[in-house]
Amino acid sequence: MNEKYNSWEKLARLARQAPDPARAEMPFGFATRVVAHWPSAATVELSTVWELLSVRSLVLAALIMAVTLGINYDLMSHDWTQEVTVADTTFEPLLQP
Amino acid sequence: MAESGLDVVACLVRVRQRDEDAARALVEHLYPLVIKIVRAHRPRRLDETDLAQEIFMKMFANLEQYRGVVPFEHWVSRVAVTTCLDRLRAQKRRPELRWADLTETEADMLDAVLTAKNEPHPSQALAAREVVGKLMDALSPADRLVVQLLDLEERSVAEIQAITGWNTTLIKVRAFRARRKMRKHLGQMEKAERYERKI
Repeated sequence: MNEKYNSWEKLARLARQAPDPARAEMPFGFATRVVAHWPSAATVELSTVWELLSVRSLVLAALIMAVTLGINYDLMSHDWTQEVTVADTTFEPLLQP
Repeated sequence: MAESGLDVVACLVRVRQRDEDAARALVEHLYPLVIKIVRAHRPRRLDETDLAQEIFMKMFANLEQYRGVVPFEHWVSRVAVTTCLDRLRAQKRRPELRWADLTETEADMLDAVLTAKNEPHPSQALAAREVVGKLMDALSPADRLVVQLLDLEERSVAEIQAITGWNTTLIKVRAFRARRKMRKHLGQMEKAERYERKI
């Protein structure tokens, strides 16, 4: 294996010799802070799920409403163009034997 | 691994009964283990205490999922590694390191690694660790995790499998890809540096 190919292994080997950082002392009050947040953890998870579901439902409901409005626009606008009737009369002869 | 003489199983029973003293004792017992993982895998710009707190919150929130099949410390290690991985994924990957980005000490060390026939002096180990950290910032979070565990912490593939839940093939493929990228990156840096010296 040439030197260049070996460069990463050589560098990693050297990096492994670095002394471990000083032993981590837990910051004062850390455990108390974590435990203080503890009761809310499960609730937060649950509420996040509900929030996610409600936002998705809202988007889906809005989409369905928009599509429905688009489909029924002719009927709701009191200005029925009768495009469906025109299409029926156009294609009816083609469909007959 | 956590070192205090806490009876984890008994403590967990009390924690599940929402005993706050037991929860505090569990945090104190696991802190050295969690902070070690955080230091090895956290994104550079993220505060280690904040990340450790997030890991403990996840641990408590998902405690019901722990079935006791593996030691609790192993389960917490997995939660910690997964959380770090998620945070690394959220962080934008850094552009590749250039020679000009290195400090003088780091440049001397890397020059010795790339050019000297012998092993570099151990006094340069700290600089090497810094440079390795910077180089790994350009890797994908998953590749970075494999390199960290395999090449810097010298964990076995089986251990990585236990920590990450990835299969052996995936770990080996990721290690191969990451190492190849590291070698290529170092080669490019060396080439650019030689070119700079010539002109």
